[in-house]
Amino acid sequence: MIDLENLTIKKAREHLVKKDFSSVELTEAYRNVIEEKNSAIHAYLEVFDDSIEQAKYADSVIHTKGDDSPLLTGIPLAIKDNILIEGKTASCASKMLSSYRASYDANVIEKLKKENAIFLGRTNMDEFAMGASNEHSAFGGAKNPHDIERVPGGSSGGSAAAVAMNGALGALGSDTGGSVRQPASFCGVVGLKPTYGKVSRSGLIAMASSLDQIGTFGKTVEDTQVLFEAIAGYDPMDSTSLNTPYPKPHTLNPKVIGVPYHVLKEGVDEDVFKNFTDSVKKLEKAGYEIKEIELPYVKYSLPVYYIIMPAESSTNLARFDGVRYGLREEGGNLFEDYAETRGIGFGEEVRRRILAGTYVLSHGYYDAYYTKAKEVRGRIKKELEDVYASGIDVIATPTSPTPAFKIGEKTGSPIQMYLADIFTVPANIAGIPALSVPSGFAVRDRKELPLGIQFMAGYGEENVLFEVGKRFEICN
Amino acid sequence: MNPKYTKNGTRTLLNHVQKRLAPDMCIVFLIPKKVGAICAKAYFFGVNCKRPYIGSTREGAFSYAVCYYYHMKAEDIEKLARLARISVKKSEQDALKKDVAAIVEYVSRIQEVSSETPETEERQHEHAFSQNVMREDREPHAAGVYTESLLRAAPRTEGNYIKVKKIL
Repeated sequence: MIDLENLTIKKAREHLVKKDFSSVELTEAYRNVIEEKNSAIHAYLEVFDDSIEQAKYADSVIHTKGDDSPLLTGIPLAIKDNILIEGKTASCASKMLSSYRASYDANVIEKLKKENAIFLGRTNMDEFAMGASNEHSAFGGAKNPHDIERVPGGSSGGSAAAVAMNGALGALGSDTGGSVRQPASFCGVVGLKPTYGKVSRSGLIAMASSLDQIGTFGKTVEDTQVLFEAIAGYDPMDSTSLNTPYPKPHTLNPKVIGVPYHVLKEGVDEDVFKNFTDSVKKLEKAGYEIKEIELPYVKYSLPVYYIIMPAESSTNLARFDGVRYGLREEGGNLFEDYAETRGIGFGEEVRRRILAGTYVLSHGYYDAYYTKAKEVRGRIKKELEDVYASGIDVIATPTSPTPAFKIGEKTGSPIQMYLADIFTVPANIAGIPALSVPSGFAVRDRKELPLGIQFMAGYGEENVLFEVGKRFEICN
Repeated sequence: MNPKYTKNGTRTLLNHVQKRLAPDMCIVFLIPKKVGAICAKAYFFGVNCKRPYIGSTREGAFSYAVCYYYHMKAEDIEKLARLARISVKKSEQDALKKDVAAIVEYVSRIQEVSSETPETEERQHEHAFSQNVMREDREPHAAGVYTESLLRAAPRTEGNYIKVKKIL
């Protein structure tokens, strides 16, 4: 029996190279867990039937190359349902794309294939990555492995739940406003949103292009780092891919952590607040200097986000019209074909956001909303840049203002649901990297629900996040 | 607007407000500066204004309070749905109207941020952050190599064509 509970990518790698077990055995072990748990948790929308074949190939590579084989050879991973794997369904958990099969590999998938990683299956998500709870999946949301009456978070809730239930060693998700970090926090795993442009978006089904970024899930900071390093890099197929050297990390030995206590005054659960202040104390004990910081513009991040994101989504999702991909519903004429296809193919939240996006972009409102939001976005970026320039290495906040909430608790009010992203959105607005690391538990209904602490660093400074995250894992 | 307060500095004020707010989305109240913000707040809560934003003009003798006011109508949702090419059932209209209005009201708080700092700084920042990249316009791939795989994704095809209803 392989001890999946305590296995990490790094340990699995050692075992594979030492031939303690093969990738086929490891992949089978994960497939067994999925078979046992997925009907209750619904982390996977589909388990690929060729994963054992992939593992056989990985084993042959390890057999011939041993320790010289790529680091992720034979490592079983879960992939969010909005990332293209050639020939496989990529549905975005939407009726619109339930029959769509990817015509090509996403850049990150190409890279993982070169590493001989194993794709176990595609994971559940909020439809088109729009949501913070997985309840907007057209195929029924994933559940939180720590309490199946609660949500796993979203939108990459399936990927977080897959890792948390020991149904994969690591996973890919996408993070537009917190969709990797918030579910990581709810499910008790580590989640990284990289710097905008560090990971190619080619082959990620677009939601809001100036905010989307593919991120990684793992059980440890090191695992998210290994996955990130495997998928990062310039790609000419993504016009926003970073090619120019970004400002170098101003420090590789981070010492100063900034805490914006003023943003924690309202709407933060008591247990979350206490856990966060305890975590900050632990970091102080571990040798970090803690400084209180003021971020006067950051409170506008969420309203800015809910203008820019629906605006970009409404344009990106215009491509789903029943002509080139997926669903086609017939109407009396071409216009009705479009409207029927989109009316039936898109779920409630997607339609809501497309209409809100259409509103803020429409004549007469464009300047008051979209142009204004872009301007405020610039100020938020500048404000964060100034903080890092002033000698703060990392900003810490709770990842989410509450622990995982009950299924159905927030579906009545879109705004309440949106507030779940209040601490994660600023990193997307500013394009900076951020990491969520498990920080303890809150007890609800006699169940332990995981909490997370979020670290945000300056542009291109993932290394600083990994360094602080690893130190936090030790001192926690 | 109370005409009593619009004689002095009106144009400055109106320009100021118009630059920041779309028409028909708010009620603007003018307050002589001497009344002071505290009184103004109390007064506007008195007229059942949920989140008045109290601002002031640079010149002129007036402060102003902006009370966001939304009255999304069924026709508004129909119009948005038409623009977005989404059919909306009559039974869904009320819920959508309520939700979209709530989103718009929520995001309107960005109007509180004054536009008075130079825009160029923000623009420069935007440019440093993302730039447009174009493919060289040469060496195209061989004709037809992707045709089959792309057509396979289309719901209706005929031969090497995607099939749609007549356009003209």
